[in-house]
Amino acid sequence: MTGKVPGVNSKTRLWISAAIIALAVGYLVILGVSNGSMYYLTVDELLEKKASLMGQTVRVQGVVAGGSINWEPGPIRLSFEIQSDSGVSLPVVFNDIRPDNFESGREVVLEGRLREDGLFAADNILVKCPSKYEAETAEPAQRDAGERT
Amino acid sequence: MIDVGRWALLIGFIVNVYALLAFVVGIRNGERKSIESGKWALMASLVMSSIGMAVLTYLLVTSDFSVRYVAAYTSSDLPLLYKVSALWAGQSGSLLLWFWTLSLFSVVTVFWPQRDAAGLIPHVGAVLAAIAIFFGYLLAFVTSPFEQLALPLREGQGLNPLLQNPGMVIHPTTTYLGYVGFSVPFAYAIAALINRKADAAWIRVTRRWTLAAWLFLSIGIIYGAQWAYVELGWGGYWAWDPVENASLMPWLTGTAFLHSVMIQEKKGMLKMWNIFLIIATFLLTIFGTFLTRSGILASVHAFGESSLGVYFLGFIALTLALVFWLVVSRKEVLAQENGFESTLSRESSFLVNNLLLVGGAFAVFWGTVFPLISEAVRGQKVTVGPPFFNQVMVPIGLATVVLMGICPLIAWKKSSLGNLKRNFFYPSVSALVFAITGYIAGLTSPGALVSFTVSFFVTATIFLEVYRGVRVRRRMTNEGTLVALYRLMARNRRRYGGYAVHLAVILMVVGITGSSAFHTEKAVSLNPGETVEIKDYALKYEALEWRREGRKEIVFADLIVSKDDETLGILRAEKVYHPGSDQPTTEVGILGGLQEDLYVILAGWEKNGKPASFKVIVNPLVAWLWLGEYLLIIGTVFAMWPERRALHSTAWVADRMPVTALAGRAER
Repeated sequence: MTGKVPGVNSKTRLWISAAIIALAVGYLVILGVSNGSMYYLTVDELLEKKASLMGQTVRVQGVVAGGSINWEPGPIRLSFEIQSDSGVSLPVVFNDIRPDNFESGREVVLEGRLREDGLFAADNILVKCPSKYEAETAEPAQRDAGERT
Repeated sequence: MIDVGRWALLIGFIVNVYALLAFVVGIRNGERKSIESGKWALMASLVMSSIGMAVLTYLLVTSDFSVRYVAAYTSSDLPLLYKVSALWAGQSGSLLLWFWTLSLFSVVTVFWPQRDAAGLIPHVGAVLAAIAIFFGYLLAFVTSPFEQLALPLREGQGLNPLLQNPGMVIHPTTTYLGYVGFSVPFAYAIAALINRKADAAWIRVTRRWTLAAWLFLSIGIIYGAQWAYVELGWGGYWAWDPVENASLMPWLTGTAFLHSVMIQEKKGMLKMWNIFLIIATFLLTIFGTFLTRSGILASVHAFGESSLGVYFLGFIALTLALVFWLVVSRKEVLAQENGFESTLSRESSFLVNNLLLVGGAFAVFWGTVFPLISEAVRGQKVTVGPPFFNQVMVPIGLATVVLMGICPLIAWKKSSLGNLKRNFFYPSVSALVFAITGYIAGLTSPGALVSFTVSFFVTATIFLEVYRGVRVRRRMTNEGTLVALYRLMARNRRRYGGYAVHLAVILMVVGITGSSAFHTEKAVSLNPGETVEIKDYALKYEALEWRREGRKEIVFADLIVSKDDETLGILRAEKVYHPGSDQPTTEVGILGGLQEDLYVILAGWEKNGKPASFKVIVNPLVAWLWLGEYLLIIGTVFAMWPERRALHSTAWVADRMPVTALAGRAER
């Protein structure tokens, strides 16, 4: 039908526009992945690859070790250890408020970096629901929750 | 009683199998009787699932702890409302809710068909029955809500305190209504495809279903965000969590579908595309349910791992295979009637809208399943977080918003450059002025500046459209402005409802921009009497106190809020300890206003509250999100409301006219 460029009809132009949008979205996705992606590791995997991952922001999954929680509301610092299935522990420090639902035995996913001194500095804590509740909501806990001292 | 429930679900499964067979036989042999009995079988499914719901409710309310579900989600001291809402708190109960809703919608669809598409009903019924068979099977054989414990518990484990508030009664139900609602247009699409009748009849007939499903899903999503903001106490409302994404994806494709069907209705184009879109939307609702139940992705909503994931994947795979076969065998039907005549036309801008929305859905999908793919391909799980989603979705979102402003002003078929200039002059110029003024006034963050400017632009185009419509109408009828406005809107509910919804989206965009770009927070430890300052607020912590409410124990702190030396009031931040749970929930203190929310979380305390730690957050413009939510509801309901003179052709013709002739047309 009518087209401003001879030989290139409207249908072709529409396909071209569609391709441009698809490419643009694809580009954004690729860019986003390269900027925003991080490894998702278990405690064992993190410690295994300690050397290569030092200082890199990663996600680590583990279980909060019983009796390891030390929440200091004064300096606002949460220290604890997470364990893998095999019992290997990793000490963690989180300089923000203790999340709701955060307690021993809970499965957590931490986002942060492994420091030179072997401590894992967490920026975010995601608390997974305990298995006793089949359906539950837990917060993407970055802040809040307290403990009766 | 429990046996009644179990049998009801078993029979419910069987009647749906019967219904499918009856419909298929009826279609094959052209027997009306078969089809009628299929319809009544769907009715029987509704009856059976209702019995199932009633029995489960009874068991929950009477706290029969011999039933696993009741023991897992309730306790005898749970308030009645939550004993009832526990119905959908768990896996099997929520599946039962789905099954019941599907049965209800199926009955409404086959017993009250619209004349236009009555011939499709047997096929529609068959598809709906097939979907119900899947859920019925799960309920009868795989995960029954009526499973009994070998040893009945003396007391139930109680409902998670986080679920014990009114919001959790609304959010899951509306989301489910949205999900299941899309099954009906999906069934019609499949029916149309089978019958080789890809004209717009199926779209006209399902228009209100689609709108209603979309409305419920929108409410579910936004309300979920609102609930998270107010109840969960982390200061945000959206975390790009896999389950949040799971609800967003069908919403995106559903929105695209809502728009592209208008093109098929008016121009007979995009038939294949529309069928694909609704199929994708339906499959995404199932996929979303799969994500929440399979436990394959770490998420806040994790329902826990179960083998159910396999069933859902199987259902999706089967559906995809069937659809593929259908489309291939009926390819010739879906050829477009009209081609796009001009790149610069409303049709093509709708198509761009669709591409953006579907592109967005794809991006969200990619980000959500990325960990699974990377693990399969590279053996190492790699996740993407909010930075990915924000980086991709913000540009797409802004582009879609710009389109929202441009599209209504472009004519169907072809727009000339002169046309465009006339329509866009005022909004563009004023938006530019706005941008410059904003920049000078200190709004230098580029993302926020672009976002606000674009929002202003779209608002200007909407107001311009309304203004023009009223002005033209007044010339013809000499009515007063308000009367003209009212009559104009009342006679073009689709159009003006649509404008209202677009305006609602703008409100939400403004809210999202404000609270993302200008969010400030502070974590502090305060001794009694000390003050924390944030922005131009000062919050003085007085003391930590304790009170009892029913069986809950509440530790709270009152903070005196002042701004510029003027006392505004007291904010109370609490930690609530529920019976039977060690871990408290958070009640945040919010001082909300149009301009911003002051948000305080009581984080913890040393002995006697000396010191207590808090997180204080200032979230600008958050209220606009909720305002947008309410306007969205009003706009959609308005668009759905039947017009007094429901003459398809009149409205259809009227909408094809440029706005200048609109007022005159509508008078007839």
